[in-house]
Amino acid sequence: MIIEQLIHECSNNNTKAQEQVYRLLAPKLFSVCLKYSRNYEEAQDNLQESFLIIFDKINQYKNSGSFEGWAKRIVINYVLQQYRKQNVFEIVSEKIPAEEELEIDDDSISLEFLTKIIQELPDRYRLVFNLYVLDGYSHKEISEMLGINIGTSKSNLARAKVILKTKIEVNSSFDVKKSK
Amino acid sequence: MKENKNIERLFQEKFKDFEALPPEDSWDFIADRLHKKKKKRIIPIWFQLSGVAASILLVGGLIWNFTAQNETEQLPVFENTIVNGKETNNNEINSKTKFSTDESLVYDSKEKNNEKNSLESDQQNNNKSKIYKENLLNKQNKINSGKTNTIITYNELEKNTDSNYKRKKKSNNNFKQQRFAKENSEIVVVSNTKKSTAKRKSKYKSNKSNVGFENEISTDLIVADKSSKEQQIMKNDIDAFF
Repeated sequence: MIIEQLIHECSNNNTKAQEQVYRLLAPKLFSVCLKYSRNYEEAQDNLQESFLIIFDKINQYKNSGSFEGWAKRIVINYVLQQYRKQNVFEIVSEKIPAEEELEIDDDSISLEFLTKIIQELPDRYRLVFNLYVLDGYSHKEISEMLGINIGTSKSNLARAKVILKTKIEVNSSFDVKKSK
Repeated sequence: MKENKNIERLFQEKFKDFEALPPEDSWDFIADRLHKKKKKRIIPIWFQLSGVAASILLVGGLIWNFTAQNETEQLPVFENTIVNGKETNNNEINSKTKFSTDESLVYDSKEKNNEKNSLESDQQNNNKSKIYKENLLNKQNKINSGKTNTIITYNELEKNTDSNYKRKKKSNNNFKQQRFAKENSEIVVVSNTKKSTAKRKSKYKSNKSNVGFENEISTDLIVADKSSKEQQIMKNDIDAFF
């Protein structure tokens, strides 16, 4: 079935069409939720709530741009809204640390580990890192989305990268020790 | 193979095609919530409709109630007459017209008033008891002459007369006791009066239970008549004694 037809059926509250859309989008959207959330359970909650919003506002979707992109924006906006409620964006800007390159064996790092260390980041660092590095938003866009300065956004990104690098290095050294 | 890598690039490459299957119960949760939402949208409409219906019923009921009350207030006598008329028609073999029943009712109510007045004044004036006696005789004659349509209303009247009679006797007794407390002959008089009252009471009880109460009333009236006569005679005697 063509996606447009499915969307039309969803706007008429057709449960079967809604399930088809869910099956189609859930893996991609759940990956977004995993990156933006603190843990697996929170990611699941965010996914469910986001899908309810998607089905509620599906008739607002204009066929400009991909439906997947539209749905992904809804997920991100929902997650940001949750953190806005918790006032995690109150921290003032800090100085930006110097960027360092990481010497690492690409294959030794699993996706699960990377997801785990992203989730362990402080909320604002995690959001900025995800938005800038993984979802291609500019610092200007991020500052508007989170209601922070551009400088704060840059600073948060740099700090997030330092934390992640440290964790990857510790993990790699642990792996090296283990293999020896 | 180790290589120098920007941390941003590392993550971008790793998460490029990242997909993750959510737990299976996620869809059940979403489907359940979507179903509930549909229900929620229906319920408020029902609540609104039921609220409107309830208020209409309430207002309508109040209006109906008021109009019904006004009707009953306007025609209370008419309704009573119909009821009595029906009852008499059921009891009678010779059916009477509603008009005659009305007449008898009016007559009875007049009589009732006369009786009350006479009874009240009778305590001080013995001559008026004669009027009462005449009234009773009239009633008796009426019943004997076959006007059975008045039986039910008459029976009710009898009860009133009965209670009035009791009062009268009590007051008479009190009056006499105060006046002739020292007289031995008075004890006999009082006891006689009491006896007649008791006799009349027992008669009245049997009158209630009997089916053919027409004759009973007449006898009852005769008894009542007798007792009133006795009283009159006794009072006259007592007055003569003084």
